[in-house]
Amino acid sequence: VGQIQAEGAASKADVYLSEDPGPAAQLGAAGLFSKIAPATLRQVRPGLSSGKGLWVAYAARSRVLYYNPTLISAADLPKTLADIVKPEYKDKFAWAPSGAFVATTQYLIETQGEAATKTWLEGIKANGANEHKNGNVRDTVEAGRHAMGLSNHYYWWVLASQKGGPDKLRSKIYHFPTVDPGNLILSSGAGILKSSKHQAEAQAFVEWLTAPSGGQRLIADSPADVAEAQYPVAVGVASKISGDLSEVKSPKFDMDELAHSTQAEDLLKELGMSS
Amino acid sequence: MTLRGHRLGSTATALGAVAVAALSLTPVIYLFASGISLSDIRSEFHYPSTVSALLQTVGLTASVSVLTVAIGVGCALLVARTTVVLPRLLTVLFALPLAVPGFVSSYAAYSAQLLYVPRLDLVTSFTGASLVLALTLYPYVFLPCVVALRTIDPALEEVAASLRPQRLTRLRHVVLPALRPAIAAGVLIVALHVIAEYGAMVQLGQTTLTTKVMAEMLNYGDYQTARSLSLLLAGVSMLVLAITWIVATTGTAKQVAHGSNRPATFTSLGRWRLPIALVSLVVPIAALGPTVFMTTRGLTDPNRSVVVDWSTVGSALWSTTGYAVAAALVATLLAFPVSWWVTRRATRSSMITERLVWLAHAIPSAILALALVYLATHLVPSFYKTPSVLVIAYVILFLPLAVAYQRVGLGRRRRVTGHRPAPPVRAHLTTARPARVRGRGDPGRARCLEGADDHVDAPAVQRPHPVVPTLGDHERRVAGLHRGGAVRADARAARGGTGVLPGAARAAPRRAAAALRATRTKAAEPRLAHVRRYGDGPC
Repeated sequence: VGQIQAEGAASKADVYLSEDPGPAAQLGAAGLFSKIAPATLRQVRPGLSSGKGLWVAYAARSRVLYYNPTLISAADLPKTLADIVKPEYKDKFAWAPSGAFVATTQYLIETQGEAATKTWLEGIKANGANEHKNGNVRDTVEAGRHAMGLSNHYYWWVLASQKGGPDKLRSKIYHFPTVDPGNLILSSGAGILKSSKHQAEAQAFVEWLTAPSGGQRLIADSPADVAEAQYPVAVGVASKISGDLSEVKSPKFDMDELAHSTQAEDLLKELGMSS
Repeated sequence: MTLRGHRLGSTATALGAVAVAALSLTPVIYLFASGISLSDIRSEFHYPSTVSALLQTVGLTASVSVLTVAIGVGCALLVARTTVVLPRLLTVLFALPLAVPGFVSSYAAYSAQLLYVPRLDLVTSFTGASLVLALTLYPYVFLPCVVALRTIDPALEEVAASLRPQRLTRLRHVVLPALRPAIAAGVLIVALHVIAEYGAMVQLGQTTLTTKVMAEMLNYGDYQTARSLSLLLAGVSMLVLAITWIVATTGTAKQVAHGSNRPATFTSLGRWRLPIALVSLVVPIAALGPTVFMTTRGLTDPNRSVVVDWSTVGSALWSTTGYAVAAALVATLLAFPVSWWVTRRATRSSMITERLVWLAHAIPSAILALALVYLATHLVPSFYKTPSVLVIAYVILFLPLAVAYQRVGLGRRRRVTGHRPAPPVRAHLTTARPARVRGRGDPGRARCLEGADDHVDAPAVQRPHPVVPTLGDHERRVAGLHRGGAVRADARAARGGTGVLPGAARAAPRRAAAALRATRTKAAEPRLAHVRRYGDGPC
């Protein structure tokens, strides 16, 4: 984002691909994107792309809970994200102030209000351990440093593939059983830069990227070291590794809201929960 | 050279140096140009975590500096001033951790902790993190200290020893004060590394200003705050620059007489020569052990599914080497006016110029990159996205290291060839050279003395012989042969030449390792044939 903004009109990029929705929303809100063709937007499951059509989702990741069965049994896991701050889970979980954690915080502020979010964050800070990075959350749960950890789904799948399969890992992946902010889906977005001199080609590329037989097939079928176990987002396409996105019970929300996460930033910094 | 020619040359050097300093200030200029003000920095102090990150940054910088001085000076004394076995091999081993970036060794140490003691905070505590970082960074202190130890006038130590016969008198009153400039140069590199380090800090669980800058960019997309905090970081680094300057310019060593030095005296370790060498191996083993162990373990894991694609590794190595060579060449060339100016004329303006070159070293590379993106797209769009911009970034990052080591080299060159010019025949006949040590503790004064041959305004220095072709290093070493110490003297000079390694080492570890090997080979064969002559040029 910083690079695209610094380049301004002189940018040599035609298409911008983000990992998280925040940066795409940020550039969209800054007026740097052309609108995506409606046909392209229709290829993707509803609710994942920019509501204003400024960028289109081309992949997705979900928030999850990792747990180490040698330290906690599946039956004892919290049923909702809100429950993890309960006293019985004190000193039992890790978290990381990543972009996805910031997005979760921003979502909570918008849906439950700032005061409730603050109370929840204080619980996270008091009861959990800040491991700084989602990858470290995964590694510490796997190593038995913590019983549970809040992270993103694909870190676990990537490690499983490196070790030779999910059965080679001690830790397991857990999705909260009901629709819950702990399962929040976050899109990876593609936007076309207004400054690009190749608008038609850029539209054609993004259309291919989101087509069920094009880029989506690639994301669905590629091994974890290529597509990193991301969920494809086109209707009817499922990942060979992480499964179908429709199985993830995430609440729906407008990801363009993540263009400005200043409230979350303020709250996290005030509580000293930043890296 | 005529006086007029000299003046012109000096002015050109000064202008070149100022231009180079301006280039290295690019990221700082960008920070201001992007519209941040001091009030933006003040508003960050509204969050208590900013203060704690600032304290953590200062604390880590201090603790790592102290540890690297202890390890670096200790190892340097061992190889340069004692009769320990295999000093050359030990020198190479002690310098080796330079080849492993801090992020890699920290990740290895962190992984090892998770593997064996997952519930303990061995390396993720303040003390543990300081130790891991110090073991990665101490060669930056070790190398200049080895060079400096070889140039201290033994006559000074003898005087000190004769006045107070206690064993540590020399060390306290001559050696350590004379090492101050080298320690200060090394600590400066170490401290700025700690300040700007990101990856290692994250792995070691430390929150510093740099991790906050990165969090602002990566987690919040808040580039304005990232720039504000970077400016604060630049402020902290100015503090470090000032402190190391004061340390470098406070000293006690004075010269006894003119001329170059005899070889240093060595403390005999007696029958402890071997045991002490073995114990000292703890340092490189602790520094490299986790990396070597975890890498071997990963590559031999029967369950691993990740295949190492050697062609990819090869092409990456090739492009890394290309960028490293280009950056090293340009940095060496650009550093020259700065180091030359500050060595020849230690005026306030030359010294401030030299300090400014360091500022960029303390700013996170991501901010430096943004600065170059911004400036390249706005000023020279045709250069943007070409390798030249990347090379410029490397040059700005490594320029200070080139300057630092060129200063050490220029200082040596002048001591070796500048003041006691003598024809080779004379050198061969001389068995005991008149001793002279530069007033190391007082660079300002020392450089005036050094520059005295060329500058009419410098204090008058007694010059007993007319200017005649002077000796090169090899002639000195040849001369040393007649003192019965040729191999050792040559090794010492050659190892002095390893001074350029750190910058290169970070850019291309393999190249550095090869260079180290080359140094060893060079050290082993005194090339007697290469006798160079210097005319009455600037040397």
